[in-house]
Amino acid sequence: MASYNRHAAELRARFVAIRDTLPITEVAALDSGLNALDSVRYNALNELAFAAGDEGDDRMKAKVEGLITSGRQNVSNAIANLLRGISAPSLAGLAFVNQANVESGRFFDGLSALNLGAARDALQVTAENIEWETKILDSKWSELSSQDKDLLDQELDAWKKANDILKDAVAKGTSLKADALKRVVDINQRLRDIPKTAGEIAKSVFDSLGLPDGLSTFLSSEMGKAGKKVIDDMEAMGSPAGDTAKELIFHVGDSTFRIMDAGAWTGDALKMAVKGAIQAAARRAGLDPQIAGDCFTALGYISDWIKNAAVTLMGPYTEQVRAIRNLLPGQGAIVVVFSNTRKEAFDFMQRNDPAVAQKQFDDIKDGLSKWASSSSLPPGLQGDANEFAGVVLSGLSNRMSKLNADYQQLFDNFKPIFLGTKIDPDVEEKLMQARSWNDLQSGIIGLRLPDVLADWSNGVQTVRPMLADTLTQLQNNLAGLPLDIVSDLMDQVTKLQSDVMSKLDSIASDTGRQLDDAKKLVTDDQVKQDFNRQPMLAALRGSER
Amino acid sequence: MDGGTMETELSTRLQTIQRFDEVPPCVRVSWIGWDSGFRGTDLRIGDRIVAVDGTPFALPSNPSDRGKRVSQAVGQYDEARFWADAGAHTGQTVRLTVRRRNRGGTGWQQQEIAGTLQPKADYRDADNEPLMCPGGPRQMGRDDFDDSWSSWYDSTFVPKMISILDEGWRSGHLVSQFELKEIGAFQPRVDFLSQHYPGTFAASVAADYAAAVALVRGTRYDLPAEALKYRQASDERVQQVAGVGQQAWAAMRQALAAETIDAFPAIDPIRGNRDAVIGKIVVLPPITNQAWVPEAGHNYLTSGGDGQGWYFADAESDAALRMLRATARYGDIVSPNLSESYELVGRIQQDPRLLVMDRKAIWGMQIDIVGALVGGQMFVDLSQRDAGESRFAGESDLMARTARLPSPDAPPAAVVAAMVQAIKEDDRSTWLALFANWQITPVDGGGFLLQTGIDRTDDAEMNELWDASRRSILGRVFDARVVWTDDPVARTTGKEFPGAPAIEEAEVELELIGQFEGEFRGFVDVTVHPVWRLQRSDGGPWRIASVQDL
Repeated sequence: MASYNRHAAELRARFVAIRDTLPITEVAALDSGLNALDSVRYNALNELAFAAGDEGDDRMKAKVEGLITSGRQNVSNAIANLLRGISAPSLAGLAFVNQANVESGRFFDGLSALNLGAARDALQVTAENIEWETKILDSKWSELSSQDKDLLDQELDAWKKANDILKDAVAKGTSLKADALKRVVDINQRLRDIPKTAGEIAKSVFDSLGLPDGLSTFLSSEMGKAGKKVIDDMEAMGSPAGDTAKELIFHVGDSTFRIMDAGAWTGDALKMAVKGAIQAAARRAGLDPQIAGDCFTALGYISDWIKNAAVTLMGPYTEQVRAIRNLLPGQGAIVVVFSNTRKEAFDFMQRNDPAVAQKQFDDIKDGLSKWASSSSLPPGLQGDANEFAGVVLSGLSNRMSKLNADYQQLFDNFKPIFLGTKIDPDVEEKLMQARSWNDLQSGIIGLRLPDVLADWSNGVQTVRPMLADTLTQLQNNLAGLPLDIVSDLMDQVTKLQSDVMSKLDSIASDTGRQLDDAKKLVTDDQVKQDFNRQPMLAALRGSER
Repeated sequence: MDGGTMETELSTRLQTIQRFDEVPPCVRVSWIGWDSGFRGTDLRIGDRIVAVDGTPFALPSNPSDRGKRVSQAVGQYDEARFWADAGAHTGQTVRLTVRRRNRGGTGWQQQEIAGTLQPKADYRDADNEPLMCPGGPRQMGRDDFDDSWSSWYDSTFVPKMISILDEGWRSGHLVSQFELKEIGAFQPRVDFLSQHYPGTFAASVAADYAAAVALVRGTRYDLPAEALKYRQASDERVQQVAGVGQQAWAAMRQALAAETIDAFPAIDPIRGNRDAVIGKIVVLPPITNQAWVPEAGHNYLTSGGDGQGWYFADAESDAALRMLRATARYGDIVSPNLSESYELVGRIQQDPRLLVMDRKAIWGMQIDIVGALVGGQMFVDLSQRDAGESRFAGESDLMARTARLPSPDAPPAAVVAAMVQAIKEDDRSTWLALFANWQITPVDGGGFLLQTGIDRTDDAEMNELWDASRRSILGRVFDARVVWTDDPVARTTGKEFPGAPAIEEAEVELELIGQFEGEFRGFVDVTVHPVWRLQRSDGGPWRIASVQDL
């Protein structure tokens, strides 16, 4: 507890030294006046010291200045009052009073020149700013990360959708491809089965005609295998005996068939039966006109498959990519603000470095020390000044300790985010989610879409020879049969072949372009470019020091 | 015809005032008799006689000798006895060492002026009637005037002349225009004397009269319009600046109309199309104090709200600081009453900003301030710079503000000049800071009480003096010029007690300039103070010790 009584003792000693030279009235006046002065000085300095070292949150500059002014005035008045009522004071008395007044003036002048209130407030402002900055950085990081997460979620969602779209497209494309190919194969089969079917029909005809079962089966079987050979055999057989016979014996190949009561059975009759069977089989296969529709339906499936895949890539996929790109400026803004916040936070830390505050504190300390040891002050006032300085510095030291701790806390809290020379990898990942992007990138590349699309493109080409081959095969199978038997069928097949190939070429051309465009979207390079976080990362890391 | 003269006592025929308290001790010439042997010399009323025939005034310590010495001094009532004791004779040359104010400069000029001793003559005409001078008029004659020549001259003319010519302008009770009118009544008699009684007496009366008239009429000054700008009424300045400001504000918005977009709703910095607004101009509604947002010691001007978006302007940007300095200058030279609302024209920056308001981080677009209308009255075009500053519209037509505390080593005249400038410019704080914060009060017995550390900031007396000074400078006083500065003298030696300050004092004379009949002339009256005491303590800066208004 400061007493501020050294100057009081000093004045009292001076008074004692001259009291014998003073008129009695002055002695009495000074004696009582000095007691009043002591009290006034103590109150002034006590209040002032606590104000200047105040550890509270209020600004004290005005109060300290006001207390210096009022303290100075109150002390000055108390000194002036030392000789109040003395009409013609002695020169010794006047000198005593004037000296006290001048010394007090210098004491307060020196104190006032220290701008203690402003200096104390400067420390307080630094401390407040540090606390404030903590809240500001908290709020900013919370907002930045929240907004960023929102955008990232949207981006990732879009990417996932894109990924799903691609997977779906591949799956659907694959399914459609299979379906389309199955239909082509089915048509193939149906075309290939025409002779076989013709055999089945022929047997029923033969059976109904009463051909021996063995012959009927043999002929129809042979027709199913190679209608041409049967016809040839029939041609070779010619007209059995040329007449109606009770019994016909056929030698077809290595087999011998005996037909009893053959009646009018001749090779011509059989040929008619075969022709009818083939035409019926062709009808059953739907060659006229159903088979054409089926062919075009199959081709439509091929077209749908390619279009589906291509449109998916070029539509929904690019839409997602566009959606992601639309989000990037927003994330760019976040990165810019994040980077600017880092820079501002760094500047803040520089400006509010405790070393600066420590310098301010040291300046206050030095100022108080110089003031307290000023040769213009008598020893008693120097002593009081030292006591005063002790009280002020005690308060300010506590503030400095808290300031240092708060500063370190601020730095520790935000080093990974705003204050470190490097951005913490976890923070960077939180802002960029580069790993997620990379995973998605790898996933999409892993779909090997360029290969898939190339395969699809090839698939179209694969169908062509299949269809061509089938039709050719059918033609081959039918070739050699008497023209009057297969001419209509051959005409139909030839026309079908022409139409189908023409349509297939058209589809191949159309889908080829779409596939080419789609392929450009999903090349590894394009996907890497679409999923490239490097520019954003570079911008983010641009704020690193 | 003269009846002749009768020689009586020899003297210089001067009237003097004792100034033995001055340094050096002296007598001040208050009147030079028409028949003085110093008429026609360079001796002037107001001169300090510090030595006679080379002998300075040195007052004996013995009170009796001291009294005798004082009464026998030049111009004092018993001067003749001194000369009689010295065996002087009529016409004897006397050399007076005089000090005279070095008017227009500082300190004093000292010179020797020689004159002669003359008797007090008794002039009479043929009828043995006492005359004022050889050749008349008669002392008791009136020549149709109201009173006799003797009465007029001795009781009216000379006292009036003395009251004017002998530092009357320093007395504090001379009203120059009143005196000019009053002594104008002397003109007929002065003319009559010249016409009817030409001679030395008439010539001296005419010369004294002319000198008095010249003095009370005052020195003529030319004050250009520039020097009187400070008198422009505050209301008039406000209207003038507001007029040109609002025109310039409208012109700027018109010039930028093609680039201007609606400020609100503002673009969403995250999800909006920033590219569409970057570089565009927005005009923001008035921003008041509540919209200044400090962020850990850094201030921003903000405009916007929830649902309509935000704009932020860095209040510590170069443009904003120029705007604020222009606002401060407006407060200085136009009016301190400017509403602190800022209508900003701003160009949208590329980078958005996140600003924490009420603990919540808010997104907004940043703007570069291009122009501002402050308080609806002051416009500043921040795209324009003049020596690093942006002048507000109309500023160049106003008086520049120059009042400031002079340098610590400035002479007393500079301090008084700074005081005058501060009063002109309505700069109370500078004016107040020019006054000494100490006071020396003499007490009975020869000592003094010294008070230091006087704080006059909230002093009611100073408030009254300030108001009176402002009334003067906006009323009768059109300007005030320092015309003389005394040599400093020590008020305290610094040895009176341990730690005593050495206080010097210097006097400064100020000529107040008024406007009379269309002319600017120096004047005095009871409302103005031409004499100022300044002091400095221990060689510090000079400060005004006369606690008085202008």
